[in-house]
Amino acid sequence: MRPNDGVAVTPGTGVDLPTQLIDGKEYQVAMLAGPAGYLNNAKDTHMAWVNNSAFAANKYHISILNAAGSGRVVRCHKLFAVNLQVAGVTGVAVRFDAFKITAHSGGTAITPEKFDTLNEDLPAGITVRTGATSVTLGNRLFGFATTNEEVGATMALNLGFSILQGLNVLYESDRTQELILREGQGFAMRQITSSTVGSFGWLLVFTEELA
Amino acid sequence: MRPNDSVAITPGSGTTIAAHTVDGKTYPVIIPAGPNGHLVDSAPSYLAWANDVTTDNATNVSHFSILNTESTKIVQLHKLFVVPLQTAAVTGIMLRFDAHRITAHSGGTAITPETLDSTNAALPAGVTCRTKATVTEGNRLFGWAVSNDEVGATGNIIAGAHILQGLNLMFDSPRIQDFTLRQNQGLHIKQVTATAVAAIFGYICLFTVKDIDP
Repeated sequence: MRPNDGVAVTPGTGVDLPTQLIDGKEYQVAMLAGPAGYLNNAKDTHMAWVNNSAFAANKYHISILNAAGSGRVVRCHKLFAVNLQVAGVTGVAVRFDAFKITAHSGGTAITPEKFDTLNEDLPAGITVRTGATSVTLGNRLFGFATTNEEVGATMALNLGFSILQGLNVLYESDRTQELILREGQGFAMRQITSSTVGSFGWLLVFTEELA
Repeated sequence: MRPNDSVAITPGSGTTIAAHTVDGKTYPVIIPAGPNGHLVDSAPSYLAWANDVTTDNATNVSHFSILNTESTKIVQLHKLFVVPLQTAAVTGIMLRFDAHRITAHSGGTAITPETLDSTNAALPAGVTCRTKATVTEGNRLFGWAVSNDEVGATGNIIAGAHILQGLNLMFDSPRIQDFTLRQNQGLHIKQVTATAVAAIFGYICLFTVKDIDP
């Protein structure tokens, strides 16, 4: 259904407001912004990929920290757990929990990839790690259980892991805030159960903006 | 496709309206708001995690409940997930769960929801979450059936567990209202059928708190 009315305006001069002319009516064209004033779909976006993270009890498979002094706000939008175990193993049920953190160090640094190479470089105070050996934990956010069984060749196993790697465990919605990391705040996924068998990848998508 | 036309306006003075210029055209920039005036994506959001809730060998046991007793706030439920957490082997059976409105809850274990932005106001004292509470139940909203079998290592069970923990039971959509809890309103998830096989679930509830309409 197209609009059933219109309001005549007298054009002025000086600034051109974009419109889309359809069937004799000028439709105003506007851009949407979020509550902090950033244009939708325009914040500098990064993806951090942890490759082949081996299982170990209490391991921090992925952690991200927005250090004090960064001058930025980080918003975590998507986190996916991707089973990468292709060789046959004897799988068991495993549990992961998500925690807020206030510090991390050690392990291996991950260099996030920009979604657009024209984006500014990620500030030095925003860091992603795998296998961090020292983490200062805050509150637990949530948990989930899965298995470290190999992805394998049976349809049943493939079905299960296809589902898992498509599940965004960060509950993104346009009706709620994202998980927001202000200065001195971070987030980590910790393996709770003690298996040393298996290999997962972790994919985190986040944006950063001026505080 | 970029817009195919434009209308010239004569700028005034005194107040600056946000705009973004692309290819010689000046696009107004607007921040959308919801029907009660709150900017989209700005409502203080909280995540309640009910950890390791054990099934009971009894009927009609409340596993997770949220209640709003505030007179000047509304709570809107956006996401509700059931997360199978049973990792040790058990002999699973099918269980029935229902979601009901509630008007009171007490006892059990209190949960402290986590704020999604540390600059949010503290959660009002009248918004509370509990596990295994004693509740005053209202209308049933919906139900589902699930196995309490361990997450395990075989494909079918894993598929089922992954599907369940990714299914939002709260119908989050911009095309409908959010499920709203006004004063003395709440919701709980109830284990309807009994099981002698104890297994554990987690529950995630993502909700916002807003001032009531003036």
